[in-house]
Amino acid sequence: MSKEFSYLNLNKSASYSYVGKNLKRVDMLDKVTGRGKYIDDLKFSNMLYAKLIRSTEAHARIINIDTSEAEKLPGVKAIITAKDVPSIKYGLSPARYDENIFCTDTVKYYGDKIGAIAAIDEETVYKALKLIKVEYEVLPAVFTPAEAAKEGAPQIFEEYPGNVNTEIHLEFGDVEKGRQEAYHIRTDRLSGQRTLHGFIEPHCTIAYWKGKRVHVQSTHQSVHYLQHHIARIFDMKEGDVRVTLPYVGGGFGGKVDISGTDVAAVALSKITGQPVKVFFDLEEVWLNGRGRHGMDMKYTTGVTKEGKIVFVEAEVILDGGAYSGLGVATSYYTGSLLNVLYDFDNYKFDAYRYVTNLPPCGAQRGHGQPHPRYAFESHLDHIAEDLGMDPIDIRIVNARKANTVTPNGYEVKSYYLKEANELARDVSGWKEKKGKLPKGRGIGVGNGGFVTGAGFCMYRTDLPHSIGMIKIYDDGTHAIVYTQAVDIGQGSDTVLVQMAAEAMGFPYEDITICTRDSDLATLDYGAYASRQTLMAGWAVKRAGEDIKKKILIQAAEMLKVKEDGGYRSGKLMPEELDCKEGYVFVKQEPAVNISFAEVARAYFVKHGVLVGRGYYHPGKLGGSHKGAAVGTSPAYSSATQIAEVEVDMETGETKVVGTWDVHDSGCVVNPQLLHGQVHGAFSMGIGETIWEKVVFDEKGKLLNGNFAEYRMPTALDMPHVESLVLDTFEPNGPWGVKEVGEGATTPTLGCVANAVYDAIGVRVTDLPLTPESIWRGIKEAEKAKEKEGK
Amino acid sequence: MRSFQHINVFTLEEAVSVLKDSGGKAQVIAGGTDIIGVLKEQILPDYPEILLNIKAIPDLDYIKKDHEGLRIGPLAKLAGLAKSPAVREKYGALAQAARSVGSPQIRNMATIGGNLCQETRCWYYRYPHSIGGRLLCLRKGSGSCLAVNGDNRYHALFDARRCFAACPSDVAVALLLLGAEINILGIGGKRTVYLQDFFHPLGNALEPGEIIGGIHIPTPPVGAKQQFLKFTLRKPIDFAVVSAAALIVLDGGICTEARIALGAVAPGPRRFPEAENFLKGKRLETNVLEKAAGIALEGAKPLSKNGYKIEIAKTLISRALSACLENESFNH
Repeated sequence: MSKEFSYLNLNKSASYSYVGKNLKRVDMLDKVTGRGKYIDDLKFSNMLYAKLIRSTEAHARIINIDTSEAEKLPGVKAIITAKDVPSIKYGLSPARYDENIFCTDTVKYYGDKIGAIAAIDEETVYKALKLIKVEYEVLPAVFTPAEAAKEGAPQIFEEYPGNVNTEIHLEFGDVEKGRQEAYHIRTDRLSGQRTLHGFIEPHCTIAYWKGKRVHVQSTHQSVHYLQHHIARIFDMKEGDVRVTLPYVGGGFGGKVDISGTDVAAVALSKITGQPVKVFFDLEEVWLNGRGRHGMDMKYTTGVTKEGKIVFVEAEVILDGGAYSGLGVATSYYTGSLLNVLYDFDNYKFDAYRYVTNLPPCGAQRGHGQPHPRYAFESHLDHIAEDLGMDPIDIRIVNARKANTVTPNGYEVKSYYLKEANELARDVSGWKEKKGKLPKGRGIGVGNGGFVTGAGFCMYRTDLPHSIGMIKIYDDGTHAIVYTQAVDIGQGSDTVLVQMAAEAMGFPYEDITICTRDSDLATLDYGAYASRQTLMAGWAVKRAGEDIKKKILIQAAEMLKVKEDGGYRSGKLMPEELDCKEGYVFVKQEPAVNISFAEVARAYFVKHGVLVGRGYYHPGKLGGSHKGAAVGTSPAYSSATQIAEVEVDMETGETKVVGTWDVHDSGCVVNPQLLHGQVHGAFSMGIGETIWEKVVFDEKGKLLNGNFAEYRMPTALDMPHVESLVLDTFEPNGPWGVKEVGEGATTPTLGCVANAVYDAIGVRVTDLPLTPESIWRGIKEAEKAKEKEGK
Repeated sequence: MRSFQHINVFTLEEAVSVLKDSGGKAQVIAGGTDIIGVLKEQILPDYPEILLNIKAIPDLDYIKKDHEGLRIGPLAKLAGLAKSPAVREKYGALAQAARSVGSPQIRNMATIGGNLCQETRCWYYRYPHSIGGRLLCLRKGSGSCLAVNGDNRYHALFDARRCFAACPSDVAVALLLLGAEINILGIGGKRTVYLQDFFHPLGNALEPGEIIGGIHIPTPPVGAKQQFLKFTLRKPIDFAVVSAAALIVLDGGICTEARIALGAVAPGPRRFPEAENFLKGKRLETNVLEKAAGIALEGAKPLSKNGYKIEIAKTLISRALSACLENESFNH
């Protein structure tokens, strides 16, 4: 279908050797054979096993920690608490470093970190944990933003009066003017729930010291941030911290924060002088949290008769849980990208992130956006309905265009949301279905997109965002690509090798990638903010081009055109040559060629090792308001999703029967990996719309920290997914690429919720849209109708 | 997981003898799909010293037809029950119930005996010990039910007095519908209990040292049509919010026999005699089925958050009954 869609033809990927091709993943055999090593596969002689001591109160002052019984247990090697570790605070937003390695005075949620125990085996650790006695002075606790905001509510942090952790007030344009111009104004309130990433590999860290250096192996999304924070927390030089990551079993934003396993492993290994493995059980992943914030969202929007938005007022209240983590960025993200998607001038955005006595929330795929997208897309459907417009038409009317600047200063280069809506409408049969389906069946649309990499490092620095390096083997037959980009399953290793192959003109299958190691690989900030294909891609592309340049210079000395019948005579210049798929050839006379390997070997003989170097920094990007750093990016993806659902009107059960996704992702390096991201995004998004919610009891204890009671969709719950890409090109991306990973999750909640609304005729405002809440919605609507009838 | 001794036994008598000698320190393991989780999470105050593996006992996974009905060995796998021609032929509700459990991997491991003996899914009862200590409650021998004032959206609607945990077994619902009996083997010899007497408010009828020796299902009435339905949140690999099974016999369009059973609404699976009697002697029009469903749920006592289960139960009963009328595949 996408091939028939011809009016966008911006990309010239057809002429590439490796970019744009469905090549086999470089980690495929490792993963399907089980040969690849994940952290739990790593064993070291003398290794100790350790676990965290966790709080058993939601909010309490620690009076005393009695470790004496546990210390007597044979096999226990070390027990540490706050007094044994640096007291420096950490987090991910420098403005809000508020987390200690272990609680120093009060515990702030049920499961908070009090200390850690290392012992000779797992069984001894579990036994020792039971012998720890903590005496608490229990303090009153708050579990919702509403409770936290109450007059006289218990204060969780001194530094956050009123429990307000982040407060944002931004206005762009003139909302009052917009209000005057509006033909129709509408307000909607919706809420989204706390969810968790649901990766299958719990956090785990193994650390060991060699002299003054520590080697940290962890489950993480970023080599660099882990290295930076370990150095900062333990007052070390970054050069003394080696971070390596084995294969990572999923992240989705839940492995960006420094975990309790990281800090405890470094501290315990220093004290014991032995390798120490600190590991989480599955339920501890829930306690570690950092998943999607619960949010209450209120939108007031004014539109013209034609549906053009003239102003939006947004208010978002976030349940942050106990610490900041990435929550400040989350708070900004709830508002910062709305007018990237839709083009309007007058925008007021207020947000309040409260701390509560629950596990901290943070980044989860789509960071801060899926809930507000869900709320605004629902809101937009109501506005369209009020105006008698088709929901897709109102989106097309407001869709941002390419080469524009948002009111908050973000420069948007490629952007084809209008075309995405049109194609999604056409392939889904929207016109035949919308408003024409029987009761209980519905179709809905949602738009979304994301930054392609954050414009700034998370802490203040002048470092580049990504450095690539490629080394060619002495004999010229193999290449190693170095980067700290982290493949957490999304396929970045594969895509970066494809890009290196294309840039060098070297065979894909003769390249190995060396990643996830701060000693061996080169700087990259890692897997977050959907950044690696563009940012690490630039660095690798430039490294590859550096190699190619050197190869062509060398080859010009080695190649000779035919004296008779050649296209010209005399010495060749490098500019006259090109290199593709392992052969250097004369552009005008391709029959005159030489293998890359032969040229590379000659280079080695003459100059020594052949190394290519690449550098990427996005430079100064748009936006100057407070918080502009969260949302500014070299490139923005856009996407339209459509879902068709069937709702059982008697039980409220929703079945998603069909889904369509059209992505404006720029040039697609590996289409199969993109479609994989879209399938995964639908799976996560459908789960979050219908089933998933983290549940606590009235004392803040986690009730569903397992995959039986925290319900994520299985393959059998999945509808057919039709994933299409627009043929677009992003000037700020290598080969024109943009992101897909995070953005793909952002339209899903909205499109499924709108489909449910279309099916049942009543808006259920709180996620998840469980059978019960839908059933109640249907019943209430019936009652209201009866009343009307009377 | 804490360490324990793992003992293989090769006869049921040997199993009973080990159970006796262990003085309550042994726990039976068959498929292990439930017990492993229970042990790993350490939800119970007592941790067994011995796991008594009965999987090694030969020929206990039988599914046999005889003149009195069907005999099922305690080690019969759920996958086998779902596939067995004998079960599908006359005991269709049981095949459907077995098929509805977990995933193919779980059904290949899980046994019918284990399914009947599984622990409740009450999330207070199942609260893992590793995160701040297990929660004690009446079912564990001390304290009161935490669901009464807590999050009880999945808890019992019927027959619960002091513990509101619901029985999660799907297979039990079908067995109750079909009037199954459980043969129990113990130190004192054999005894037989009806399925409805197997489940107790705080557990089951097995005394210390006892083990399920087999299951017997009488031949259903001639012409009986049956249907099992299960309402879950997620389609596969999920426990029932409510499950329902129905059996009817028609004679010239008039209902002569009717049985209705519900699961996950009470400490055990439950029959509804008033609703069943209401159906008998009637033509089963849609409004009659709905009325029967209403009668069945009349005695439900919802907690603060599980009232919705009443509506699900009613819908499932009506649907199971109408499926009996429509479903040709289980006609005889």
